[in-house]
Amino acid sequence: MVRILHTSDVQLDAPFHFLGDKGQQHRQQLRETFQRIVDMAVQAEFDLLLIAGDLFNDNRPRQDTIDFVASQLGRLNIPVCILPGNHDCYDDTSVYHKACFPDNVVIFTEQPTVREFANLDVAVYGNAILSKQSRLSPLRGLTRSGTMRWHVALAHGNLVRLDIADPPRPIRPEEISASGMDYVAMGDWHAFADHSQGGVKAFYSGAPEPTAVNQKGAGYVACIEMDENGVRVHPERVGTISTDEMSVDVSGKPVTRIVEEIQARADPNLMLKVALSGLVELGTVLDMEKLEQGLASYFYHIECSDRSHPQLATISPDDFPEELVVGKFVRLMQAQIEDAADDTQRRRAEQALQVGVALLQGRRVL
Amino acid sequence: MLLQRIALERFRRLDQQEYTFQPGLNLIKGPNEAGKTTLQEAILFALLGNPRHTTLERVKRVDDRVSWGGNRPFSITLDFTDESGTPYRLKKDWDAQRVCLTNLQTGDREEDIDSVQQVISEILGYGSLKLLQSTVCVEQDAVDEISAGRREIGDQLQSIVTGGGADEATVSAVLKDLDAKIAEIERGWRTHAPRNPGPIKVKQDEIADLEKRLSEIRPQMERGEQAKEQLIALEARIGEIEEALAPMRSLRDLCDRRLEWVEQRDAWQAKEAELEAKIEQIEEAQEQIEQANEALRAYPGFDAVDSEVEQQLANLHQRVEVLREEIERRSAELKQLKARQPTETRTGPGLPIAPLIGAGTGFVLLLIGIVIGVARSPATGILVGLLGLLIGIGGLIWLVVVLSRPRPLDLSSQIAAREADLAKSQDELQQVTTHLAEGLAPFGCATWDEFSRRLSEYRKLLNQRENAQTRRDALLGDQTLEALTEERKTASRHRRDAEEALGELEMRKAADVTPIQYQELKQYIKRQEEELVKKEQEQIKYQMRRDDATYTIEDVHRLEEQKAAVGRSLAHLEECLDVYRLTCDAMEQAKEQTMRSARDELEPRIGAYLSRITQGRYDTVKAGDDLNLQVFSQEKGDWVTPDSGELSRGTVDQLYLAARLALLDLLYRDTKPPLLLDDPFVKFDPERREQAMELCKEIAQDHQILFFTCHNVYDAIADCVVNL
Repeated sequence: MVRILHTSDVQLDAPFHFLGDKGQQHRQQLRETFQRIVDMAVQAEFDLLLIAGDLFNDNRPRQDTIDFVASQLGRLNIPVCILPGNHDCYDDTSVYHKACFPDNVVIFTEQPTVREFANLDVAVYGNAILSKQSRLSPLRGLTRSGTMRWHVALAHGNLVRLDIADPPRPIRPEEISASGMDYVAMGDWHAFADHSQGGVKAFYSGAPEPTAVNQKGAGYVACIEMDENGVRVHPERVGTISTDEMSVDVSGKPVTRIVEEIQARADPNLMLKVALSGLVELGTVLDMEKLEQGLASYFYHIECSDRSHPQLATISPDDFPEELVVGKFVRLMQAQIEDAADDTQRRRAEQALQVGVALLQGRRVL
Repeated sequence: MLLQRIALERFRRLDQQEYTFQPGLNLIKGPNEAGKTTLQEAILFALLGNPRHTTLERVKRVDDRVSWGGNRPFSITLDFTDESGTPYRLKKDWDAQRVCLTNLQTGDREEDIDSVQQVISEILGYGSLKLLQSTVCVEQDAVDEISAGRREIGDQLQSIVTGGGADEATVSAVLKDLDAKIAEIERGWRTHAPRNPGPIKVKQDEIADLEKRLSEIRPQMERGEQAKEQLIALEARIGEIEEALAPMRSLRDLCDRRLEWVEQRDAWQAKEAELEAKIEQIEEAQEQIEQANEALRAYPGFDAVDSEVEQQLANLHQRVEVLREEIERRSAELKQLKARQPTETRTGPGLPIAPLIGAGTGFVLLLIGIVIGVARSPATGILVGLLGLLIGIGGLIWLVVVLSRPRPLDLSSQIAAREADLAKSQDELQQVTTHLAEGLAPFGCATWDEFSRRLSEYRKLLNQRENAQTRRDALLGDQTLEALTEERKTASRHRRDAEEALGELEMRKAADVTPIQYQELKQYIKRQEEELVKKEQEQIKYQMRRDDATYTIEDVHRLEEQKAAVGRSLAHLEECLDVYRLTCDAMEQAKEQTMRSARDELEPRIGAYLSRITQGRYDTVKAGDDLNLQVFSQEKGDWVTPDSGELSRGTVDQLYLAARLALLDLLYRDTKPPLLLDDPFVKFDPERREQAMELCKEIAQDHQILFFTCHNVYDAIADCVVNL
């Protein structure tokens, strides 16, 4: 049996603008998770490690990051195949010119590159990405050849789907099935996913840690076993940080209850994207920045967006008589909301309505 | 709406209590803590409360109104009629969380709280606690505030017209706060280096500062990274050059070594030849020396010939020659003398006539020349003079010669002397010749010539030997011939070694390189090495640049992340600013419209009520934009404000009441809700109180009034007294 560990899109030394001051911490987290992948390869005695692109976020990582990767890969006494992706493409400025990796590491630098590992009876194929703007198919020209028993391809690109017209580095389903490979180790998408086609196993391993807040499915590596019974693939969790989204219907709920509902998901390793929805009473001002600041200590990262709307349909004349300023104000803002040219204008008008009503009702919301 | 009866269970201290009311002015009387306020609240709970909620509009908590010692919430039953006189019974049970509104005329029941409240709102006019409290309820505190000047009537009116709450913000205050907030956020936004910047400016400055730092460190980081990339490229290029140079250098070195060997070989060869020639010359010289030595043996005794001996012999030989010449001369002279003797006796010596004539002729011609030159022609004179001079000089010379000849009278003596001398010379010659012969004998020479010749030969041999020795010695120097021979052997060995080295394969290959090719090779190597030096200098430059780069991509990322965070905060602030501006604009508009409308309606109504209350003393009221009231004083002939002190406290109270009533009319156009007055005149003096109660009596004709008090002074004018 041949056991292969497949990862991709580690994107070491990436910037995380959305994390603000926590960006540095997350970069450190990426390193620790990469080390964990190597630990797994050692402890579980895998035969081959595949890194299907974007190991580095760009071609100018810190030197100590390069040294760190080299030292980690040097702990392995198994072959490591690294395919340069679009982030760490193999051009004149490539990080792989600057790195001094141990002998067990093979960098795929040509189109195509084929490496045979006779002791494993495995041939590994790949097309290095030579330019960030490359639009070539990662599987082009890769055809099964040679006498090795197992044939594995590395492919860093975008699976062609009906909803994505003309993506860069397209991987067509028919290319997968026509490749004749036993396994296609895919990279570029950050969620673990099965895209096997026509008897050819093809998986995105996903990124071992999320690099954005909406990357549910990140945090895994793909573990492949190949023997006379076939090829089996399963994900293994390696990531510390997870992401999730939640929608909170704020209709009829006080702010404290909204906060409690979100706090119920408290997890210091969770990146949570919260969307508030529903209808709120007039005069209810939901400050997303304050909400995020108040909840920040409960999560690794939290982003709140306000998709709620003021409850205009049932404005009670009792609460907002037209004879009063507040009633007149509500009706003026209602008209502005209805006449808004776009979502942004509508949103602003809704917020203005809530702020105005709250102020006119004597609440300190400024 | 006309309240008729209220029945309370477990509502604070009012448990199992029932009270009935009449149209007009109802006094609800009781001492402090009797439950007057509780009854008021119960009425509000009955009208506005939801038995399923724990509060009354989130203001009054249900469990605070539960009877003490009890744990079950209350229930309230309220009987009332609407404007048309239709009777209703409203029961709200907070324990069972149920509501029921029954039309006592038709028997229709409604148990849905929203439907029930809708009916109540329609009958009352509004269903808002806040609005009701600020309109139909007149609190003691509100009147006191106006009376004491702690609040303006206009402010209170504006509060009510703003949002329905008498104690809440006025729209003017809200707008002021909004403007202040907008100004605070915008402060310093478009000013350079403001002293006290607002949050937008602070964030903008923070972003600008971060951008500035980024603009400083990013190029440094870029330079460092570019330097690294350049170093990699240089390393590769240097490697290429070194790789290309290696075989070329090997070939050059080979050629150089070959040249060295050739030079060595040639040098040793030359040395060897030189030594051979030298040795040959030395041997030749040696042979010459030996030959000379051999030849010198044929000149015995000549080694004793020194300069003195030679001189002596030479002198002897010379004397011999001299004597021989002398003898020969004397003999010739003697012969001449003897031959002259007869000639000279026959004739005596005569005068030298011819020379004298010549000299005299020359003298005469000279004189003639002078005369001619003076008398006639200088040229002719000069010619003749010169001729004469020449002839004269010639004559004189001839004369002298003649006079110098010897005289014949001495001739015999001369002959005799000569014969004596001759004999003497002959004797001496004999002696000298003998001496000479004796001197030459040791050298085996018979004659001087032979001696001289042999001496010359001897000396020549000596010279030859000396020359050969000198040459030999010069060639040897301080070495011996054996040493030179050894040296020659060594040179020969080295030459053979060099030739052997040159015969090796590599050297033969190098031999294939022509001189032109060799020069081209050297030039190629030189160019490549110059390029190497340049590349290595570039390497140093880029190494320094790389080492000088103190910032890495991490520093850039951190600053960008900070900037992004500040940017988000700034965007939020700008969004807030947009929202506040929008709010402000709409609120200004709402205020303007509402206040204008309210002013238009309130002014005549307040004037009418005031006129009724003051018996026509004040009948014209003006309301400003903020509903601040002015009353026209006919006495003064001008407008006066409540706070000017020109109106009595009683008039101010009346104005306030008139305004509250006018507001009621404004807001409750079609309905006549009951008024709940909580002893509003408690601090009035009797006269004011009487006036106010007169007003209440007036109002009670239109609105049922529930007047809560602990005093008895109102009993006389009340339509109904309810004792708690």
